[in-house]
Amino acid sequence: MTQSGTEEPLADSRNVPALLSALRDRARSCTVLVTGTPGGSIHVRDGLVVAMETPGAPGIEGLLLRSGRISEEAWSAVRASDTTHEHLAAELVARGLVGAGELEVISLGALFDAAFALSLAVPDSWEVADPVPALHRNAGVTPERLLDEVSRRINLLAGEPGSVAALARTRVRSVSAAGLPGTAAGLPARHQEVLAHADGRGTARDIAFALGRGLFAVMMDLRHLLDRGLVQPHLPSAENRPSTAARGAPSAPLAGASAAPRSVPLPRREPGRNSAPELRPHD
Amino acid sequence: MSSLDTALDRVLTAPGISGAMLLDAVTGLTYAESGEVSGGRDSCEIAEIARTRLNRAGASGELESVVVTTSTRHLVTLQLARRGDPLLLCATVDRERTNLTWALRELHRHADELLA
Amino acid sequence: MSDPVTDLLIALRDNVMGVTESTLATSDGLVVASDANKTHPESMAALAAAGLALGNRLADHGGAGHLREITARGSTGHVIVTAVGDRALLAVVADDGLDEAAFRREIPALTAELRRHLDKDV
Repeated sequence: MTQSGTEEPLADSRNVPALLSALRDRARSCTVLVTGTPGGSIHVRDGLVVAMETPGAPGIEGLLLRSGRISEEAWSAVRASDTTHEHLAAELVARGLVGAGELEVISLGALFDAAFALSLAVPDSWEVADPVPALHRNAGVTPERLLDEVSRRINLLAGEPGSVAALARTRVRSVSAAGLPGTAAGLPARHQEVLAHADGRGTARDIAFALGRGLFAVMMDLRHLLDRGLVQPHLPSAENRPSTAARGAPSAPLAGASAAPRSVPLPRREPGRNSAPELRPHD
Repeated sequence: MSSLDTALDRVLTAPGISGAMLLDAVTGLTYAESGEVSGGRDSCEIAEIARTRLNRAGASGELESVVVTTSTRHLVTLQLARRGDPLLLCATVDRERTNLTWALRELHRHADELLA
Repeated sequence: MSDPVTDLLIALRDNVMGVTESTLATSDGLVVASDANKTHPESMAALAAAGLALGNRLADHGGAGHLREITARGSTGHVIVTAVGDRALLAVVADDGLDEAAFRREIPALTAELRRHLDKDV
């Protein structure tokens, strides 16, 4: 293979979509490294996008491991069997760890989710580098289809421009009434899980990583919960000083005079047994 | 190359099923499609409404299928449970060429193979 | 607990995708400040201090020069412990999607800023 980043200049790469489109026309195989907040890597094979990795959305490996689909031990064995890391997907399927169709669903889901996450930030710069192995199992997606799907997602989430990126940055917490029996009843299990992770500290991205679900899927769920008034944006206001010390647990809904004495800054600890970390409920 | 495309093409070998589509029940992303699937996108919305409204109305259990029938066809949507967010298998069924019971049985059979 | 210091820890969570918790502790394992919800700051401080001390000896034994940080890398996240001068340390908990580039960018300025605050303690 003689393809390299320096072989032919891609003059018409004003932005990343234009670059991908130019790579598509030339049927190139390469990696596009995007720097930004977040940045990411876009893996292109014969002009089609097959995988993307970004800190902004859970990747295939995280989705497989976090969801418990495959064990750490099995994953290590797969990686050990293919030191080039070029046939990881085939190996996963061959070992019967995940179905071929299932892996394709996860691979495509992660790809479109990463594209959506990258679309929420303005990249600082990008460069075309040699192709590197990337875990994927799909036939490749055209840049046009990626763009169409990203616009569909942005339209689904909100009307006014910029509001989707704002939603992605919002730290949400469940309103205290959501914890009362009856209020959250009737919610599907996945909404209840999102609600349980809305502790005012994490964004949609953080919840997505914690649950091993897609960023866009979690944002759709959060939009629904916001509309129903079950979660609200967590605004760190300077007036509400004591809440900095309060650890997560939703306290009184109104910052009334009675709120301060009721909020307990630290979880109860007894002398003598203060070294054991609290068990996380889902571990 | 795509295992999903191959599996969906097999669905279409069943008589009377003229189109099939695999969607994400939450994001609406199309994973694969084959044949005539004009109603697929709407099926996703219909399924979402069925799921949330029925839940709110106190229905217990998970949504399994939604069938919308017109004078000429059935639009069948099966919800496929899996680890993670569920998928929707939407199919266009020709009323003149098959009956609903048989088409549902065929679709369930293929659904099991789809993710394998 | 000093507020500006806690604010710096919160800012780290704001500025670096993937950072979920952090604890600032003395080198002998006492909590100075923390931005934590799921981890137990007192335990994190003690473990991080022990880990960093061991890391110093490891780096020394391996001839790896001056220790910069120790990282516990797990299947779904990381814990990164960085020395803050000679008297303190910073333990950061991050998920598997940590934006490492942003983390590398932020940490030197953050540890310098934290040192300035801690030096006031004398």
